[in-house]
This record gives sequence, structure tokens and C-alpha cells, in this order.
Amino acid sequence: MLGKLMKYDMKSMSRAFIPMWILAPVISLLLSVSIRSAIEWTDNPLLSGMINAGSSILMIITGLLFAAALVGLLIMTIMFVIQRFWNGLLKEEGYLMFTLPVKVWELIVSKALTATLVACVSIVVGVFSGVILAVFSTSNIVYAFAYVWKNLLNSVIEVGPVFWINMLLLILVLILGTTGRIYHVYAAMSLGHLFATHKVVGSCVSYIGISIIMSILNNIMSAILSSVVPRQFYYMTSYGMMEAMSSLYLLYMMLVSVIEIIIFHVITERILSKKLNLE
Amino acid sequence: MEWKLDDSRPIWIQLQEQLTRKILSGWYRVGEKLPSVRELAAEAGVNPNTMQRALAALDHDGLTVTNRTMGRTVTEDRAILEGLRGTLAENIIRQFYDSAAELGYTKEQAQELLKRRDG
Amino acid sequence: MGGMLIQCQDVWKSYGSRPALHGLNLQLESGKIVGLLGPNGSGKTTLIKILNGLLTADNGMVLVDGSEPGVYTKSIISYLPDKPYFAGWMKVSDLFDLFEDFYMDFDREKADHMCRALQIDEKLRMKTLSKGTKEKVQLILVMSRRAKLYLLDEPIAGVDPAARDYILSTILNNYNPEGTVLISTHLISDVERVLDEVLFIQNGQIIRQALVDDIREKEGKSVDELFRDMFRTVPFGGGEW
Repeated sequence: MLGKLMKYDMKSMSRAFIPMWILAPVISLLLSVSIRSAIEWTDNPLLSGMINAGSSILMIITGLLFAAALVGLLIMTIMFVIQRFWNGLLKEEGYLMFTLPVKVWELIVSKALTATLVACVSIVVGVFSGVILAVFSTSNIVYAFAYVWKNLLNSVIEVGPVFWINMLLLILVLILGTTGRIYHVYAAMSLGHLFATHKVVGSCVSYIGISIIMSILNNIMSAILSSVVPRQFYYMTSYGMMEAMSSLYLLYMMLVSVIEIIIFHVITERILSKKLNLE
Repeated sequence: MEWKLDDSRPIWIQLQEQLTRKILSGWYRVGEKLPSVRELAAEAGVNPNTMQRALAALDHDGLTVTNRTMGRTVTEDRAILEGLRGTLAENIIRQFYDSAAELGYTKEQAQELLKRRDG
Repeated sequence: MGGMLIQCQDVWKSYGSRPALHGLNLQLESGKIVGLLGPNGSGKTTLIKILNGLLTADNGMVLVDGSEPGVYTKSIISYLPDKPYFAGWMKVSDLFDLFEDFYMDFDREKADHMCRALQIDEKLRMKTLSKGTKEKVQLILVMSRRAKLYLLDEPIAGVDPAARDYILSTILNNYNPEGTVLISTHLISDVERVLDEVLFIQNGQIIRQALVDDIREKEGKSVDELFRDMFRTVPFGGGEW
């Protein structure tokens, strides 16, 4: 049933996002071409100032478009997370979803997985667009990247696979962190749903409340950790030790995200199963 | 044929009356198979359970016969049909005299009115 | 206890301080078409939403076919909401796909057939359809299921007489005769002849449950007239001041 639910959530998502995911890199490509031509034309003494001015304007326009595409992507992603949950479950469309013979957790997990996917792909697309801009606007930067990468690879070959494990952990931490942020929003909206009136205000207040609690807990944890972890750990100079510390820290981050997700999921699931009020 | 249902009396009784009239008037012929409960109910725009009750009453009167293979058919027993036709005619005549009496006619005067109209 | 399709015992529900159900009791069998009749704000929609799981009762016992509202009860309830609930981007065929995916008792062929009979193009998106067509699609979805319980919330409110006749005959022609149809309405005279049984609801309680023909036999009047008598309110200005 979860698979079927996700099929429909994916379908509603793909309509809005796929054009955006294609558009952002295309715009960045256009921008890089216009930057490049502006640079090249400036170098050419044969060309008049008018063309220079024209290419500058073109560059500004595509630059604005690029910024708009990235900001748009960000806003769309945030809106998607909020709307698919708020409208899809807590408004009219919820009539349909909550009368389907599926468990409440399946409804929530389907939304959360779809939203995580959207957010991650949007981030990748954003980074990818930036890379395109960098690579195509100036030819020098390619060499710079190649140089950095080569050095990086050299050092990796020296220290072995722990680097790759850490990279993998980092990606997992980023993904789980994204899911955690999405669930944070879900829990806040579910708490807001408990309010008899002013549910939107209730959701915002809940969001802020959860954030405050989280930062307090975070501070407490940091304090505990810093008193538990032996001081000399911080002065480790060996590369291997540094890597091991990074792995531990990433694992800790993962654990925090997982706990966060579980707590937010339980809050959301309990409220929507026991206190659902689709008036 | 239209189904006419008024508000004050039980619906199943009205359905039974109208079905009886349909059979006695030959709308449904002797031995003819009646439509299913569901079809009749849909036609009259009523609940199938109500139609079922009316049809059961027809069975009870002997107007229809329910048979496992054939379904519900109009009876072939002409005596029953004639008997019911008589009862129905009787009712109409009684209603006529009652209405005439309400207007102040005696039975004889009412008969006289009938004769004069036909002659 | 056994054999009852709906059992509600002492069910309470309020929205904040506004009470909606007030210790409601109800027992309903299978195989009937039942009218849930009451003035506006009497608790009709609240009862229906508690039965289908869109609302949770504050207190009391609610059983549908012996189970509390949950995955099983949702699989046997076919619900017609009081307002359309579809995402505008979905095509009619997307909705049919969705129902086919989630409800084992959904008869796709029947739905397609009904669409053709009404000349509704399944490729159209919901947001392009008129209000009346949307309602028809909703009705097709609901009546193409072979459900044990149909919960129809105000199916004929705000439609013209021709549409009303179409809706009622669609319900009569397509419901599962082993199941029960619960129709909430305040337009009683229009639905009276399709009902077996009526429930009068007032201030969040079932105040009378009777067979339509029994009411006509005993009271000598239609359910509609009885309803008007029961819920007659003194016009404003007639009170003592």
C-alpha cells in the first residue's frame, strides 16, 4: 500500500518539479554562455561599446533569471513540503486520503519520502546548476577544479577507504537531516491541527516551540559530550585519528537525525490517528 | 404506465394497489413473467425492500406465483383474477355511492343519476 | 450484538466548546436504505465523519461491521462527501486508477460504463469540469464500489430536479443490496420513497428510528410532514417578551 500511495504522491510532485529541474540547469548554461561572451567581447577591441553594453544587459538578465530559478526552486521545495501535507492530508484532499484503507503511518511516510526525494533532487539540481555556471562561464576554473581534485585523490589514495566511508556517511547525514527538517514541519502542522481555531498560527507557534526545544537539547548534548570526550582528542594531529573522529561525529549526527525523525513521526502519527478532525 | 404515490399512506400498499390494477387491466397478461424486484423498484423509484413487500402481498393474494425457475409470473388461475376484479369493481361502486351520499343523494337517486347519464 | 452493521454507544463529540454529538446511540442492520434526517447543525455530518474515520469521537463506542474505524472499516465504506475533495490536476481516469488500486470492491467497468452513459470524457482534468460534472464523477466513484456501507452526505443538496432523479436512480440501481446505504439529507420529500428506515437526529442524538411505512401507517402522514411537525420552530416575534 505504501508503494501505491507513493505512486500518487510522486505523480503530483513530478508535474511541478520536473520542468523546474530541467529549467534551472538550462538557465545556468545560458548565463554562463552570456558571461563568457561578455568577457570575450570585452577583450576584442574591434567590437563597439554598444555590443558590450548589449551583452552586459543580456548577462544581467540571465543572471537574474538564474537567481530567480534557484530561489524559485528553493521556495517551491519548501512550499511542496508544507502544501502536500497541509492540503493533501489536513484539508479537502484529506477526505480522500483518510478514507483510503491504509494505515495512517503509511500516509505520513509516503509524504515524507516523496518530500525527501524532492528536496534532495532540488539540492542536487541547484549544486549542479552552480557547477555548470562555474565550468562554462570561464575556462580557467576547469583547470582549477582538476588541480584540486587531483590533489584530493592523491591524499585519498594515501589514507584509504575511510575517506569514502565518511563521504557516504556525510551524504546519509545530509539526507536524514533533510528528512528530519521535513518531519519537523509535519509535527508542527499536526500540533497546529489540534487547535480548534487558528490552525495556521498554531502550526507556526508549534514550529518555533519545537525549534527552541531542539536547540536546548542540542546545547545540553554538546555540553555533555564535551565533558565526556577526553580533551586530548581535540589535539589529535594524525590524519587517521581525524578521520576516525569525523566518522564518529557523522555517526552521532546520523543518530540524532534518526531519533529526531522517530520522535516527530510518532507525534504526527499519534495526532493524525487519534485526534484527526477534518471538519 | 406512471407510478403515482401519495404522501399519507404506506408506500408498499400503494405499490400493491397499482400492481394489482396493472395485472387486472391486462397490462401484465395471464402467465406473463413480471420484471425483477430490482427493475420494478428502479422503475417506480422506490426502495427494493418496499417493492418486495408489495410483491409478496400479490403472492399472498394469489395474483402472482413465485416459481424457482420462472421467477414471479401472473397467475393462470382465472377464478382468482375474476374474483379480485369483482372485489375491485365492488370497491369502486362503494366509493361512488359514498361520494354521492356526501353530496346528499340517496342510493336510489344516485342509481337514477347513473342511468340517466348512460341513457 | 451480532449482525449489526453500525453500533454506536454513548458517542460524544464537540468542536472546542461547541457540542456536536451528545451521547448518541444507534444500531443499524445490513441491507437497508436509511435516511439520516435532521435540521442543519444537528450532527448529521459529524456522525458520518466519525463512522468513516475523518473525525475521532471524544468518547463512546463506534463499531462498523464489528470493528472500530480503521483500515478494515475504510475498505468496506464508500463515502460521498458533502463537498468535492479532489486535487484539480487529476484526470477522471487517474481517480478511477486510484480507486481501483486501493479498493478491492471497485468495479472499473461499471465506472467506465457510467461515464460513457453520461458522456464524461475520462481524459479531462477535474479542475476543468463543471461543479455538476464533478459531483457526478464523485457519485460514479462511490456507487461503482460493492461496499457494505455507503455513507452519502447530502447527495441531493443544491441540484436541480432532473439531477436529483438521476442521483437517486443511480443509487437505487447500483448499491450493493447486501449492504446498507445511509443518506443524510434535509430534503426529505425527495428521498422518502427510496428509504426503508429513517433516523431523526437532533442536538446530537438519535431521537427516533422507524420504518417509513410504519410512520405512514401509524401517523397517517408522510415522513416529510412528520419531520416538519417535529422540528417546527416558533417564528421569531411570536414569543413572550
